Amino acid sequence: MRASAENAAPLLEVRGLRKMFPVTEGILVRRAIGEVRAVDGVTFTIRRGETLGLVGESGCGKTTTGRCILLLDRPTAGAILYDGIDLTKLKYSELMPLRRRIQVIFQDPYSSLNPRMTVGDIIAEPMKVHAVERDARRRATRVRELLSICGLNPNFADRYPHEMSGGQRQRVGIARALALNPEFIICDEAVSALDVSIQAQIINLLEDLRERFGLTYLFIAHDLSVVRHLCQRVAVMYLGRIVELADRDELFDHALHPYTRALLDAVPVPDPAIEASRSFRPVKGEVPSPINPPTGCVFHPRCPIAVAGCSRTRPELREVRPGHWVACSEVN
Amino acid sequence: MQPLLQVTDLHTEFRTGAGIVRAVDGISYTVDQGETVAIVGESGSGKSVGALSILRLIPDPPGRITRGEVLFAGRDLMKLSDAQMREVRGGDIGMIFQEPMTSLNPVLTVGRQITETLEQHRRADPAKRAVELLSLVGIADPARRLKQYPHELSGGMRQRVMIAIALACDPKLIIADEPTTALDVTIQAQILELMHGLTRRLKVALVIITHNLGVVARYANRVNVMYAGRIVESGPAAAIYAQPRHPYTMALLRSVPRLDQLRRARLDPVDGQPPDLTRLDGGCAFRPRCRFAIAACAVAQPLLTAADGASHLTACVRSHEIGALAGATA
Repeated sequence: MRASAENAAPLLEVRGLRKMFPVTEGILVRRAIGEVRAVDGVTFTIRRGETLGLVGESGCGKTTTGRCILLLDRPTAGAILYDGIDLTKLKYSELMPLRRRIQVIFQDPYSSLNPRMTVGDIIAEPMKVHAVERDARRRATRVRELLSICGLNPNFADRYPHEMSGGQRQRVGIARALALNPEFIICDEAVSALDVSIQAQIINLLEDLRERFGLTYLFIAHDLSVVRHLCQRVAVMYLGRIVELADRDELFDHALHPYTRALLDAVPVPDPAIEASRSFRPVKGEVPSPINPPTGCVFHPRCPIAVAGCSRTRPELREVRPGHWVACSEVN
Repeated sequence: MQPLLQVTDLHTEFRTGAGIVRAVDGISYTVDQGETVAIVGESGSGKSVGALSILRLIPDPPGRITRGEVLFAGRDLMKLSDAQMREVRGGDIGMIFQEPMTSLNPVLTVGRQITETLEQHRRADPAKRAVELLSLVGIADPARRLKQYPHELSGGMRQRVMIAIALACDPKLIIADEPTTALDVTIQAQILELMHGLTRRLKVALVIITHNLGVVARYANRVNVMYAGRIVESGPAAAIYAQPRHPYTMALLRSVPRLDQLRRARLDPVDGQPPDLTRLDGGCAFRPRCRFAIAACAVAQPLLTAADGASHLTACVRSHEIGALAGATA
């Protein structure tokens, strides 16, 4: 199965994606005084049925990448090929049928559900927007079915979000994402806001759904242990660029980029015996401003292995082992 | 030796529309001089309210500390006047909160916020001490930073300022409520290392409130696990991680994916939903989610009793057999 999946054409191909946001000044008359390079030339593919993890710290552009794929933000440059069709070139009317196949689950189960709508209306809304189930009674049946698929009592359809716990709300968010039978779901920090005891329930649910409906996920997260559990391939982003991309085991067992290694090293392990024996030195400095990123390799001011050349030339992603891509001139 | 902090049978409740919530329902623990104690729990477990209660920072109404004793360096903080309490806060007890953006005053410079604390506690030469403090927490170019406002600083830098304020008056104890939860992984590591290094060097005791089991493992000497307003397990960090003796702690440790272990095919979550604090009955609050629950669990709330040795306590009616039971299902 693995081999056939690799041969298949990718479901999603992101090529040279860039997204700049203007930095403005002035209250009455706004003028642009600069730009933030939120995403600065990102390229990756996701095969059908695969889960790609997109990890990095705040401001690295992982969420903007997801929003560009959904065309919630218009990319400044680059192509987003979904099933071979470039979404950035489509008109709104042409986009709608494709958008049905791409759904999203957001981080915050409190702000991503409308507090004035019942759970049933929230889940039914995508069906109304896309006019896929015009009959109200059939829609209600579908809502109840979706609730039970997501491990909730079908009677929750009549409740409001504030009557539910965080974990239950996130299940509602997932049910809404499933309402249109999508193939591809972008999970943007979908389990980050949840308590530890609930997080594992939702991770298991996402895995079950992937299996049951043959879903493909782009899993955007900052928690590396969750990403390792859920993803088959992982891309690490830093300041708008992908710095390393590899299969899960390869990345976690043989991380090459100094930033990836710093990230992995920073995660404390829940075992005092291991932590006591570990010598640990956190990476220095903070993420620089994307308005004025460092020259050359964007990580060089914080990098423990940087050499003089790193401040001059920007390293491109190169394949150092089959399927293992790194943007660093000092590793091989 | 007398512990630095001794909390005994502390109760804090909130009056809400849905009824009275016993956010902290009789917690007792001690903190020795210079030691790091972690309070671990999930949202609503009472870990933050417990810490705020020690400092008498519970807004009344709706909240109220209804019972309990908090002995700090021999004095019962619950019996102090408001003026005396203000001397303690920021004086002998420093505080660090989760969100440095909201806990710093946005319209005052960083320098003013540090000197304010120093002046409040009548320390000599506040301006010089402020520079010293910023260097202590690893902020380069302190003289320039003192003139800046919180919004000009990054999240990590702001949390360093919070630490500087907490340390300003040479406290004996720092209470840190989720000090790194809002920060990125690499910055979190920097801040934790800084707090750890400074509290060790200056021999300050630290109560760290967190939901992150990894952070606890790296820094805490002793751990109190909270669930539904009560401490359900308490003991040395090493013992609690190696041999948890409360079903909730066991379930929590089992449910997290870990980078140091082989990847598991499937996670083993804690079943069910978090407790509704307005609807607790007289039994064990974890009972509806517990794999080992029996009829006796509904009868009374179990008290903390010795599990392995005198210092490792657990509040479970099946504490004597829980180790064997867990072994059988693992």
